[in-house]
Amino acid sequence: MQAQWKSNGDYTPPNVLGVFPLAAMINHSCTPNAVRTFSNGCMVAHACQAIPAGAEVLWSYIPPTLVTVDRRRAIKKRHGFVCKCERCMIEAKELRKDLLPVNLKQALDNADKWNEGMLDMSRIDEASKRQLCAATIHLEETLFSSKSLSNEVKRHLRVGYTNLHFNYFNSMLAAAQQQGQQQQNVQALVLQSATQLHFAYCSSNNTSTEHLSVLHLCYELANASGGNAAFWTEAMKRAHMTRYGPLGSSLISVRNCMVHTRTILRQRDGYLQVQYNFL
Amino acid sequence: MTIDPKDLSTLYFGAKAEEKELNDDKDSNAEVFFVNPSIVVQTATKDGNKVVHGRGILAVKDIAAGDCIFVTPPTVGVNIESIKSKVRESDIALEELAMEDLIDQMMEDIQSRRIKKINSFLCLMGSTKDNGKEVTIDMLNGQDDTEVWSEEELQGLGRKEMKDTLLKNGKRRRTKDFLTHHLLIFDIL
Repeated sequence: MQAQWKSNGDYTPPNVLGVFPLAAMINHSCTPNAVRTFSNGCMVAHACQAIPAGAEVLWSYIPPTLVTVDRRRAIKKRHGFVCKCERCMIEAKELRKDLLPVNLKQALDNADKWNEGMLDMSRIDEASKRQLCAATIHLEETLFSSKSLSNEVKRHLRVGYTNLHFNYFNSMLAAAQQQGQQQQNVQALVLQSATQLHFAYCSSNNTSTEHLSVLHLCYELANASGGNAAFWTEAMKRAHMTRYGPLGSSLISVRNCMVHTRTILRQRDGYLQVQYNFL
Repeated sequence: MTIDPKDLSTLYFGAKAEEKELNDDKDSNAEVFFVNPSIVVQTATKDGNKVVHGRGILAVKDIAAGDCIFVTPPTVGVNIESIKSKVRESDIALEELAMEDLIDQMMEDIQSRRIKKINSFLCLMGSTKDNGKEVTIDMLNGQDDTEVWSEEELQGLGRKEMKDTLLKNGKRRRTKDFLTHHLLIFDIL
């Protein structure tokens, strides 16, 4: 933005920064019950989970799409405290690498290298794409199928490996477009994984922007496989309104709200099929 | 004004902002503003020097998923026009320029004794039941003009104190790190 400002004499962003003392009172959790967006110069906060009387309102200071070690490091660096939320504590307890079986530890190590951020698929060679897919499948077959880990920690872990999943989705779907008759098989595989990710988000970071884009992808893939599912259903509308309030009731305003998000659909060379249909 | 937490259309679609008369009261932050009555601010409680529990926001009644918790404008917002020329003319990072602009405005509010704004800023400095300064939602939002701070306390507030207040959480906070906490970036595109 600063570079754009320097080079374009007419450019003025609508807003830049502000102080929100009420928002500053809200504490952090890696499994938040509130989310915030901006509209018309105001900060807007909604409950993304039911908040019972007596409970604290909590939101996440950082993106949910990080594993425990990275979340704690980011929180410590930016905010000066060690997160001891429910998610961090249960993950730290059940995923201690010195106590994990070798195969689970290996799956995590393989997955970590593909989870550091969104990859530009146009710059990834085919061998690396195969490694990415193998790491994702390995994680699915080991950790996510493990009987020694609780369902709760498996859900949190899926969310923590969002970047891996998104890179995998982008890679698979881009390849599927070139594969003709194999396309539906690949889309079905991606849909299966995306659906699991959606359910993980429901309990871990409901209606985060990553969650909403996964939902969009699920609906699109369900239709691509020959289904006839309506996209903008009341349930979809409610999911978006949970985050965006009344702005979430209109697909057009949702597209505007989500235009800045770093989602699969914003990724260069990412999944383009939905580009002109939904976002 | 009574607002249904499930229907905030008038707040969202700018009708209030467009229809509202210009407000000359610079000490007011009442343009578009809603806080769910089911939340309260919890002030920190100390036992000696030890913090028993910190500040936070609590629900006093059940809040359903999707319910609005609050809609608030910033107490202080960066003056885009004032930093526009500075961005072009200097190599100072945008975050630093924005920070300085915010502190300029806060100091001007303090020097002009705009009590509502001062209450809002000073709530960020921390209040506990021990020092008798209860933090309320109205105070945080710049809606309360009760003079709870002495002239002596206000005299001691300078740029350094304001900057330290905004950056106080965490150690060796750089401006850019601070921006992800107390200051939250608007829609910037």
